[in-house]
Amino acid sequence: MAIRFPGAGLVLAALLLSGSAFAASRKENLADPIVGVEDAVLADAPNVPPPIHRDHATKVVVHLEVREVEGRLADGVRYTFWTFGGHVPGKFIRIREGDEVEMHLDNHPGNKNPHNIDLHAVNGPGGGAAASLTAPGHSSVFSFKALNPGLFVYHCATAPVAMHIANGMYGMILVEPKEGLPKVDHEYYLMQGDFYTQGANGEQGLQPFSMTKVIDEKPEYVVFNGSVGSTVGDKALTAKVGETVRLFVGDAGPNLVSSFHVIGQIFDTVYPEGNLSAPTHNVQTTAIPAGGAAIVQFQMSVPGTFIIVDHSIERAFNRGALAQLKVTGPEDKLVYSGKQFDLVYQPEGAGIRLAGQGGVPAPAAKTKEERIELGAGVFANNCQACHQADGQGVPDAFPPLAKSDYLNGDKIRAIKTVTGGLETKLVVNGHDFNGVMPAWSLSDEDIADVLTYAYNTWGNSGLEVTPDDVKAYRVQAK
Amino acid sequence: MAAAWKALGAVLALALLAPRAWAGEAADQRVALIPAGPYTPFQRVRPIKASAPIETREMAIGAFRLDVEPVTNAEFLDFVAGRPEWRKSRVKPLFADARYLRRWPSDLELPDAAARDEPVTNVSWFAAEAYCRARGLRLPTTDQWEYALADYGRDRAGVRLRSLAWFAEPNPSRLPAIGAGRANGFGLRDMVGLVWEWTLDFNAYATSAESRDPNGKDSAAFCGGAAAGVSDPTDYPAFMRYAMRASLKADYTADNVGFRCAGDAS
Repeated sequence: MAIRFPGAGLVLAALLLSGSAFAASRKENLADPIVGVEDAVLADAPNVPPPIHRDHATKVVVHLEVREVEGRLADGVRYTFWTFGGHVPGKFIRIREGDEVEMHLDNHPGNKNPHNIDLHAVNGPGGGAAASLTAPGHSSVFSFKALNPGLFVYHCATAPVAMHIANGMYGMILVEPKEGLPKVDHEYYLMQGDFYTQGANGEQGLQPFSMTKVIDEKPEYVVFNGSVGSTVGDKALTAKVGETVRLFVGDAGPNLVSSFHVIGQIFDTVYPEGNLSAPTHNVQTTAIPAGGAAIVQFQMSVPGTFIIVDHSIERAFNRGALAQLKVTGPEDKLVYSGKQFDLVYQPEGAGIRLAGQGGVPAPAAKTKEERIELGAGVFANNCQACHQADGQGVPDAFPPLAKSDYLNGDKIRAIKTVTGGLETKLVVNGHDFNGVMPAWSLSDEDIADVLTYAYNTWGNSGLEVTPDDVKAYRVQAK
Repeated sequence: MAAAWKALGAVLALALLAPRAWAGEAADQRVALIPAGPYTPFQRVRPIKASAPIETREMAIGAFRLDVEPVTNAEFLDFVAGRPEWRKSRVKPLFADARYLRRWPSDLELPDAAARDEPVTNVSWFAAEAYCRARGLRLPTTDQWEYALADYGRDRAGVRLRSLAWFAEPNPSRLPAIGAGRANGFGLRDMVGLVWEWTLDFNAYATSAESRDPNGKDSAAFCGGAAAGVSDPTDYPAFMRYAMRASLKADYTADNVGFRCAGDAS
């Protein structure tokens, strides 16, 4: 390289140095002899396989089984996911730089469609896709040597690529540097993806994929780890005060770029774009391109529930891009109330197939009890990110609904607040709030349900709100 | 009514087909005459001269005949009864993989009576082609099959929606009977939404498995992120059909790949 750029200035010299170091590393990894063979340890999100302590390169055999399975996308919303390993995102693969990977792509005979795999950790045509187009009931095998360390996305690249990715065909592979990563207390795996259903967000039943919405890049759902609420409540990530957390975060797209952020937690270290050689520090939000990844690390200093979001914030509050990290330990009430809570979540189990189920119309409550039950789902999908599952809100930010004088005092005002939004100072239970509540474009039925739920939970007044009430007092969109 | 149609079809088919070693049993298959017409292939045509641009080119499809519905288990059972070399215990591994007719309990036995009207699947290209030849027919070319589906553009949106809905459901443990769907303008049923179907030249279009390479000379069908090589990059179901065909080899059999036969117009 020095010969190609004679007489280079200081800046160029620096580039040359880093360039040659990089090239040498790849060359070394290529030359690294393969000793032994082992089966890859794979993990389903949010888990990550354990660190690698080997001091040599080896041959790692990876089996990824493609399964097309029906599962839960949101409460009451079903979707047929195409998966690497049965879940979205696909299995996390962890190898060491210099390793040779023997990749087996097994397309289950019960599947309907052909699939392949493109691993961004591969140097070769299609990242493996050219070697792995596989019909249902067949397996493809190819090998590659891991030349570059880093965190890489893999995905299906069979045409139409956007459809395969939008249906959940993605995961990540970590190529650990030889020296390993610094030791941390917890490692977790989060992957964002956008979903395009024919029904609008929240529309119940089995939802087919929408070709027009994916082409228009207008998703109905943006989620972490394959479903709304995949990583909240009793499935939240956990840590203790004083512990260090490392998140391996990918963005599958197919279309959206993620503005990855943890509310109330600054990232001590970020490896942008999964590049292990150039960490940055003290970062609030890191951009993760579609088909890209980042590693973020931080030490917990206070207890509480930390909300993980795509800070393109509409996606977090209305489309599902929200996860939780629950931290326990000594409280510091000055910083955070420390109050624990659990979200209402009704797991239906992933991958359960309901035979012959078509599109199911949105249910209408016949009794007050049904209204409360349905309202709980509407609340979980729309309200509890701010008002919290226990209705207590967040001090100084989001007003409480539990035993709320503002709510209980006036049913009509409640309808107007939900339908028209609110942007004013108000006093709730003696505390001042000065925030913004958006106007919710929900149906009369949904608003009646959610208000009835709120009025009949957390010790509130027990009122019922009907769709006719909502129709009568709804604030019309301007 | 259906029986009457089948009887009429039998008479017609008997009249049309030259008698063969095995012919009579298959003759209840109803065949539609597909008229000649213009057709825009999904792949844009790559000129011989490499520097010339890839272009969308309309072509003419001549009239041909095509089975109204996919071939059923009952029809295929009749065929293997007369052609022992295509029974599952005797078929040569070169011509069909290990899942050939895997739902059939034995050589000449269907799982149950309902299976008679279900489309036959787990048949290789070789077996499908042999069946069609026994009827004096052959598999449709990919262009003929796609032309028959395109149906002069009638109900294009409906076909795409039904295709996407079908992709959205995992394979059922039992396939529905043939003929449930609405017929298209040519009178054809179940072109989408029931099974994938073999074509004569299924592997002629996209021999490359890499779906996004706009330059590979074999991959015009699967071009790039921008899908530069196809006439309509928004037609996801077409991408799916061509990708499925590209993933197959002639000895492959799959739970959801069946076929129908075609023949010349006269």
